[in-house]
Amino acid sequence: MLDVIMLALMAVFFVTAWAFAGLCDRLLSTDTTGKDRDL
Amino acid sequence: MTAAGLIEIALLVVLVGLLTRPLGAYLTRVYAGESILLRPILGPLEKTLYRLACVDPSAEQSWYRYAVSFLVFHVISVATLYGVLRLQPLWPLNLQHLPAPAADLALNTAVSFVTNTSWQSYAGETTLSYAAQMTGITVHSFLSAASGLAVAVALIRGFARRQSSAIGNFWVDLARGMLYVLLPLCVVSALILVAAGVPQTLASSIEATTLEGGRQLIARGPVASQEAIKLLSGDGGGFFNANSAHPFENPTPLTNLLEMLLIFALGAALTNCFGRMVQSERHGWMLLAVMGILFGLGLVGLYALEASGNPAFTAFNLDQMPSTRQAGGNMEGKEVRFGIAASVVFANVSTASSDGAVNAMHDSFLPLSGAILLANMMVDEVIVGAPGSGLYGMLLFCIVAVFVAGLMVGRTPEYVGKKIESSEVKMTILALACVPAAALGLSAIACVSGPGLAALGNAGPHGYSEILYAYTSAAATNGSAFAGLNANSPFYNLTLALAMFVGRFFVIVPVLAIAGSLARKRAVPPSAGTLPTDRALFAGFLMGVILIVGGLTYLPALALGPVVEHLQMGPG
Repeated sequence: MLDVIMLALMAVFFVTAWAFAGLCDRLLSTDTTGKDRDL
Repeated sequence: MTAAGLIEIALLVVLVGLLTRPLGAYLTRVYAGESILLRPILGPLEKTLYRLACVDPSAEQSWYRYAVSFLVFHVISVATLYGVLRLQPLWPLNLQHLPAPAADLALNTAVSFVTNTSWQSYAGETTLSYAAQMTGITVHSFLSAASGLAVAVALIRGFARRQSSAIGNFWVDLARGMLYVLLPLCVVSALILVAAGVPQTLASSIEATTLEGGRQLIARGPVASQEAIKLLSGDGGGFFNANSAHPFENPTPLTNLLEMLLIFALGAALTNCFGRMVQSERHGWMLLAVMGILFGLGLVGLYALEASGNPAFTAFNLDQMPSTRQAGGNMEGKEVRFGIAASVVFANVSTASSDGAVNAMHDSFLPLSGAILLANMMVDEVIVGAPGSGLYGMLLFCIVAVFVAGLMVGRTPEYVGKKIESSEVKMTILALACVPAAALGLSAIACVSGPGLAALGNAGPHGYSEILYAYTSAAATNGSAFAGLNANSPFYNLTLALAMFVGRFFVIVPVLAIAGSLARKRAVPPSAGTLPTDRALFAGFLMGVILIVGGLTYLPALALGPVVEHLQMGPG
C-alpha cells in the first residue's frame, strides 16, 4: 500500500513538472512583449 | 594558515586551470559529434543504444520535446531506482542480508540520486547491499550527471544557433555524455583510487579484533567505482556514511586533492566548451574567472575563520595556534590526517560545486563558516557547480545581469549576440525563484511543525541552521548534510524529496525553454551600444548581481541562524 502511495506521489511530481513545461511553452508562444524592439 | 595549506589550494587552482582548456575542447568535439579517439571503440555501443531505444540520432528536437524526453527519462529512472531499493532482499550480493529500505526512504533516495543531489538519509554500508549500491546508486550517478551535461549543452546551443527551431536531441546528448565523457574519466579515476588504497571488491566485510579485544566489522565493497562517479558527477553520495571522511573513500592527502579536482573538472571545462561553441573563448574564461573569484572569497573566509580557532575558547586563554604539537584552529569534526586547510577547501569545493561530498562534518564548523557553506549553495551552485547545473545557473545570472544593465542604459540587452527579451527574462526569474521558494518555504514549515522539530539534534539558532541547511542543500541539489538532524523520518524524507524535485526540474524546464527561445533568434551584430560581456566590467557586474540576488533572498534566513549563533559565541 505504501508503495502505491509513493508511486502515486512520484506521478504527481512528474505530471506537475510536465504541466510546468506546458505553461512555459504557452508563455513563450504567446509572449510578444518587446520582440525585436529596444526596451 | 600554513604553507602546506596554501600550497594545496594553489595546486588545486593550477590543476583545474590546466585541465579546463583541453577538457573543454574535448567536450565541444563530443557534443558536436566530431571525430574523437574513443568513437571507433565506443561508437558501435552508442549505435546499439540508439537502436535499442528506437532513437533516430539525426532527428533534432524542439525545446519542448527535449524537455519532455528529459522528464520521461527521469520518470523511468525514479521508478527503476525505487524498485531496485524496495526489492533489495531479492537481489544477489546482499551479503549482510539487509532488508528493503522503508518506502519513504526509498522515494527520498530515488529522487535524490536521479536529481543529482545525493542527499542521503541513510548510512550506505548498513542500509544498501552491493547490488543496490552498484545498480542503483552508481548507475544513477552516471545518468543524472549525463542528463545535467545534456541540459547545459542544449542551452549553449540556444546561444550558438541562429534561427533554429531545434536545440539537439536529448537521447543523443545523454548517450554521448555517458559514453565519451563520464565513462572513460571514471575508469581512469577509479584505477587511480584503487592504486591509492580505495577498496574495490565484492567480498564481504572483515571481522577484526580491536586493541581492547572487542569485535569489529570493517565494511568494504565496490567503493572505488562509486567514488569516481560520485565526485565527477557532482553527485557526492558516498558508499559509507562518513563519505569522503572515511579512510576507504579518501585515504590520503593525494586522493583528497584528486577528489576535489574531479569535482571541479567538468564544471570548469564546460565554461570553455561554452566559449568555444559561441565562438568566443573569452566569454568562457570570463565566466570561469567569476566562478574563481567567488570561490576564492568563500575560501579566504572559511580558512581564516577555521584557522583562527573557536572564539568561545578565547575566554579560557587556550592556545589555538598551529604548532608541531597540534594542528591548531577549530579541529572539531575534522580529520586529523587532513587538517584545517584540506578540510575547508574540500568543504568549499563541495558546497560551491553542488557535489555534496564531505571530508569533515559541516555541523562542527564555526557559525560564520557554516554561513559561507550555506551561501555557496544559496547562490544556486553557480561557483563551477555540478556538470551542467553550474554553467546553466551562471548563464541564468548572466541573463539577469545583461537585463539589469539594459534597463540602466535603456537598450535591449544582448548576450553573446542574442537579444535577451521579456520571454527569456521571465523564464530566468521562474528558474531562479523556484530554488529559494522550495528551500525557504519548506524550512519555515519544518520550523513550526512537530515532526520537523522532533528531528533536531540542537536547539536555538544552530538547530534552525540544521533545518535551513538541509532544505537549501536539497533544493540546490547539493546533497551535503550539516549533520545533527535526524532526517530519516517520513516528514523529512518526503519534504526533502519535494525540495530536490523542485530544485532540479523546475529549474531545468525554464532553462530549456530559454534555450529554445534563443535558438530561434537571429544573431545581432555588435554595435557601439552593445555592452561588452567578456570584460572585467561585466564580470564585476555579474558578481554583484549574483551576490545581491542571493543576499536579498537569503540574508534574513542566514541572520536568524548562523549570524545569531556567532553573536552568541562572543564575550558575555
